[in-house]
Amino acid sequence: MVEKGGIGAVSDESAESLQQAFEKVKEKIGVRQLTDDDILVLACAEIARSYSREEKGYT
Amino acid sequence: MPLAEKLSKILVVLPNNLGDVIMATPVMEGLAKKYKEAHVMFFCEQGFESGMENNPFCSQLITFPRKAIRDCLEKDWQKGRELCSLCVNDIAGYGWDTVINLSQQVHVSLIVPLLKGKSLVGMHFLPEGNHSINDSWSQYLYAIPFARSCNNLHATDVFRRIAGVKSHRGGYSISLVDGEKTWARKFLADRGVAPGKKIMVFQPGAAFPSKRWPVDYFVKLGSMLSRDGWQILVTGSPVERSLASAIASEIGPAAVSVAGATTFRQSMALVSLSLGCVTGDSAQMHASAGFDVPTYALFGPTNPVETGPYGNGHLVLSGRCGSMPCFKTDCGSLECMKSILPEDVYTCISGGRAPSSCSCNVYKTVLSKNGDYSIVPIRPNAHRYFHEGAVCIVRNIFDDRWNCVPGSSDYAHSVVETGTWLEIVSDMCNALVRYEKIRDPKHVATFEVLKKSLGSLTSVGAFCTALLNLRLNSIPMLSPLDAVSQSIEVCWQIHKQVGKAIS
Repeated sequence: MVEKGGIGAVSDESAESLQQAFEKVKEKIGVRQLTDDDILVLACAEIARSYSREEKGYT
Repeated sequence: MPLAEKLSKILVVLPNNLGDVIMATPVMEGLAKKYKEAHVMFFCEQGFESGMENNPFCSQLITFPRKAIRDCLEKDWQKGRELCSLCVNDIAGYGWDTVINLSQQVHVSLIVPLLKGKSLVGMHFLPEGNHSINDSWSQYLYAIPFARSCNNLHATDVFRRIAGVKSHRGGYSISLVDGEKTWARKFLADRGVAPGKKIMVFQPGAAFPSKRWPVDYFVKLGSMLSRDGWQILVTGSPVERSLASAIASEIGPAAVSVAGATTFRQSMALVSLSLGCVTGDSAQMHASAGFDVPTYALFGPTNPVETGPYGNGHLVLSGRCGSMPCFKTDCGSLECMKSILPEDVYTCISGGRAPSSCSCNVYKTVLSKNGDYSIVPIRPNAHRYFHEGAVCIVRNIFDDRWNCVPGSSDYAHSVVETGTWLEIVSDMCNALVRYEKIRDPKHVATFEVLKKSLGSLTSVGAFCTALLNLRLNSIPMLSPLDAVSQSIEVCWQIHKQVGKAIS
């Protein structure tokens, strides 16, 4: 990966899905420091399955 | 670690829910008053701004489009990531002195380090690959669910302590602008509610079905109040429209449903014009308390100590059930909510007092001089949501002495349990020290067995164990030997802190 600066500027093009990108980041945990981009992938994986209990229609 | 004396940009993070955002308003007021030159901003999710809008202590509301990012990730994950990156970079661009994360959501703890605050308070993810909670009051917040009987602090008061806001004038800091009040008056006039009519707001909906008071109970109470000349206004979100309409139509001409016809902000403006609000544990309850409208809060599965109507003189009626507060989102029996009878709520409203005999618990809310909230039972034999002795020890651990009586009935038991906890943790420390010296894995195994045995403790022991685990889990694990040294340090530190609390 080549650092281009800024969070998310580095895109792991080889990952076909968020799940795949997430698994790749997980493999790094406990082995080496994560980059901001890695943490962003983890955040996205969490957001993808997030749901707030007040998603009930106040405008 | 206390925040620096001078800060210029502070971000308070609490993305949802509506009620939680209102509960954070005293933090904004406290920070704005403490750091007069600073810009104190608030981060929440799009759709949850209502409780913080027009707040004089919030210099800017920063909204995060979580739902839009989630939907985008679903369709095209690379685009979703780009959108998330753009939003996060935008917010990081402010150059924060400190970011205070009051949220307990995992995705927020992952976003927080990307906001690049010079200091981070609350849970945040480390590049080493684990979550970290370094400040003691955030650890307290996270430990509460493991031993609720050890806590007597309202969420707002814990939030204040996390943010270093020691005292507060009391109450939420919510406000309306003139246009909002004018709108509310006109809205009521358009629906035939004459000016000067005494209005009682009913908020029948709540986030979880288990927190809702039965429909027929609302109807019965509404009918009794209407005979006394009250105008009932039934509020709610669009999904609560049919529930609210059913209640209003059963009560008759004295009731009108506005559920689904207003935004939450407008609903807040309406409650501000009322003389009372009957509600479950809901965002409307917090809004009503925030406007000092007499609030009759009906609690079942949740805990009014932690999330009750923050203010002075509100009444909390809580149902009786063997397992309260169970925090179940759904319940087959609704035993607790059903034990709060409409007749008892009516007596509280009409007489301004608790009934001489009733089937539920009744408490009055009280704010102390420093702004701390508490509920005081006004009926004998009320359910005790916390154990005084346990609270006494826990508050001492945090150097936040509470005016308790060490001789209370459960204090001796709590001291004994704390002693057991201290013995086990001391053995855990020694096991790690031995491992560090001779590197025999059997000592790590001993440490793990001892750590597991802490799981059998309840009350103070469970609270202290949660604190210990939170601190151990905050240690970066990339270098195992460093992690062992740090674990020893953490174990001795907390051992000393807890020991001091009962000495």
